[in-house]
Amino acid sequence: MDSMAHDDRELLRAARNGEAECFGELFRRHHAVVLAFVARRVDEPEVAADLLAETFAALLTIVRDRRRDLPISPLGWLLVTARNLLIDRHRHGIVVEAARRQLQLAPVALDDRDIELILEAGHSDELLGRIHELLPLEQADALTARIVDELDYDVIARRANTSQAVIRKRVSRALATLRATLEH
Amino acid sequence: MSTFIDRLETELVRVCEAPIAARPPWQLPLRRLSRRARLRTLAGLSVIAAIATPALAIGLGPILRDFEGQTVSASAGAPPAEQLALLGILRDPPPGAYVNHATLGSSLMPGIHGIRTNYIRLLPPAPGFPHQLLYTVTSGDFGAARFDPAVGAYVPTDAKNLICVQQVEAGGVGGDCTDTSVLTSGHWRESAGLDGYGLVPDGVARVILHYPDHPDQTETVTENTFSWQGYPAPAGPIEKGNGQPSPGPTPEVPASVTWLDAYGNVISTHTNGNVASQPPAGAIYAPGAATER
Repeated sequence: MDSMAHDDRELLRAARNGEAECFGELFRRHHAVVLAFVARRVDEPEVAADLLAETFAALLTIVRDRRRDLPISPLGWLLVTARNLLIDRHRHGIVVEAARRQLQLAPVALDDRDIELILEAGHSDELLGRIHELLPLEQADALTARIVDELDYDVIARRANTSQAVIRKRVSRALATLRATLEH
Repeated sequence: MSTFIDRLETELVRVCEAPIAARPPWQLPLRRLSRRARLRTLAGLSVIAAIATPALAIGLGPILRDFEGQTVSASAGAPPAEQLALLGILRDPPPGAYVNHATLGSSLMPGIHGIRTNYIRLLPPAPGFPHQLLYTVTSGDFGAARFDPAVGAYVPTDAKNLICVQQVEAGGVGGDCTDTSVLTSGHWRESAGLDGYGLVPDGVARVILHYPDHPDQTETVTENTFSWQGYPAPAGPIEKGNGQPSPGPTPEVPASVTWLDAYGNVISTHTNGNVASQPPAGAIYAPGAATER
């Protein structure tokens, strides 16, 4: 399968059907955004690396379980999962490793160069920059409020002085546009 | 020279390529067994059921009942993703917070249906609230009241996907089930005398209670909850429906509540359940640092 020509869900479907390289392609597409998301929220690079690994491992456990539906928007799913893992890390002081343990994934070992890379990711505006670069302003605002600021739809709607349905449509369009743009 | 990103990708692809281990025999669906094997299995299950029934009848088994003795239906499913995302204690309970539904006996609130048995949690105790359970249900008779001509009275309507907090004590139970919006609107608070208890979503680290006639109170959030000692209401005890004063002191109701994140930034302020202010556009608060133990 020429993975570059397929959308995220097709990549996950292909990975589920045995084309493991497709999961690698999905990882290459989105690891920078997920890393930027977690690295700007934690002080220790090792924690950011653990969160990145656990987030993608959690997605892989879904890919490998045919009873579970694949996420409709893998990028959105990754960011929401990373956010949940971050919260659980704050609550318990450690990064959950359930998915990595289930998959028997080798631990992430970091050298000086890796730590530098993570620190850069935390200071870069890759996440917001890419969103605003790729989307019309109102879609970028809606997506940022929903995915990055994690606000509820009703709150975003009140703030934008419009209805929840409009905000949901903007977020949905934004994700579709992002998917299309990132895939081509 | 490879980075950890390259190594992680290689590792994920390696795992993705690995064959999926076959499910253990006890997880195989019954339909895959031959007819003879199915009959054998059913016979075995009948024996187990015969042994288990007396235990269930005396309340040791996982049949759930409310304190009026009615059976409460159970669900093995998960709460809606929105509720899991809002409440870390549901998603990932700390040690000791997981509650096995089989231990609950006949202690649940009446009017709930489809209690999600894998998501019953013991909330952190607080003065006045020593044993509080948090759980979610698929539905409950907690909706707005509507006149039912057949009954000739107002009856509560069915509401879906509720978050319930219930006090469990030897002397009885009390609690409430609300929909998710009550939590996100900052309105989830209860009081017992001057003692107060509140529920907040992930990301809230501290709350400030603002009063019209008293100084502000700042409380730390622990596992999505906070508690406080209120001030007596200037008007004195409130009257019950029969005109008699309620027993015990009546607390002054906070005029508003402000949510702060782990860095002390204001997330939002809630006045009588309404959001009075919001974080500035583009503000990013660290989720969940709120719920440190």
